[in-house]
Amino acid sequence: MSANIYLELTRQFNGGRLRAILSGGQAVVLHRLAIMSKDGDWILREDEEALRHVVSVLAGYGAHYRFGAPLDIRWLAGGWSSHLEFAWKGLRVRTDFVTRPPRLDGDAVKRLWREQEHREFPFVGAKDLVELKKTNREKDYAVIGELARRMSDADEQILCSRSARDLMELAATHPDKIVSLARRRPALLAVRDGVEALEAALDAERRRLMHANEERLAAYMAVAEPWSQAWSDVAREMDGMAIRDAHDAMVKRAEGRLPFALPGAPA
Amino acid sequence: MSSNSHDDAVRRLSQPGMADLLPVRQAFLPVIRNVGGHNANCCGMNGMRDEFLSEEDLDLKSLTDEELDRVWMSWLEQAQATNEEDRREYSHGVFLREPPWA
Repeated sequence: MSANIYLELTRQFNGGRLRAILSGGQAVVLHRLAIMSKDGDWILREDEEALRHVVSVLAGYGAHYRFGAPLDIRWLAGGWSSHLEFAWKGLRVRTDFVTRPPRLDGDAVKRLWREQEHREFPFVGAKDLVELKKTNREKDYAVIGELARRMSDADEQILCSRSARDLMELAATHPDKIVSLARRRPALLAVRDGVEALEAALDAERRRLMHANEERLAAYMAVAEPWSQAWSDVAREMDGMAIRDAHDAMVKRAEGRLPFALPGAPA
Repeated sequence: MSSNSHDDAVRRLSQPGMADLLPVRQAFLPVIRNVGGHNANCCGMNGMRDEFLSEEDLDLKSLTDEELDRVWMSWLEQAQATNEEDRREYSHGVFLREPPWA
């Protein structure tokens, strides 16, 4: 058995059925790219049994909620994230959960669950991890750059690569693909103007992606403002409670203060 | 590529009739085919490669599962040094930091 707490949690979350796919920085480790995150991130099955089971596992570690949405299907289905934390063998262990990962549509999420079934340690594959890493953090784009180099499919490499040099090589080998894929990734059009122009296009593309994620987070945080103002009282109420009782208290307090979804979001 | 030329490029590709990309392809091919031979900035000509992560990072590939476990745990232990500094931060999800936000 691995000594690693994130693998052990994944194993326990998935006792009896697949409920949790390891994502984020710990998935990057399992891709053997780098160790750069000390928090755990999982995509959870969007059903009540899965969420109850995860709370039950975390109860065994004495976890407590951080500010966020409760581990409740009504909020997670609206794209919210839940965050818990506990101390274990000198480590601060943070566990972050979503059921609707950003930038993966419904079909991609269904495919993800199919692909990870029966794996001992299910973790997000390279192509999906690239999408998840299109955040507002510079360091995540370095991870995307290396993930793209590991891809065997030329289309996926061309769509994901962060390297102008790599793309110029791919363009020399697959010129037709560059043209056809430019429809999905307009920065590729800069191939015709040479490496420096392509580098500038990739930089601009990265900035757009970072701003898009910032806007996404800003929208959620704006809607969460009333909940954020109530949080210190909620946290005080939950202090010292077992996680199951804290969860029930948090759900009661979040109803009416934290909308289940962003205004205007599709049902 | 400036924001305006990017927008123009997107508009161009999205227009009806662009399903046949022949005119664009014809514009590209002479440039693309010449890239490897004549463009001094292309990789392969000067051996340079874009570096995203360090060699030490990428060397995780060469570790056994047990070695990876040990290195991973050791890294997590050392990373605890920044817990106070990042205690209010979020690395995943839809929040940036714990309240209060003002």
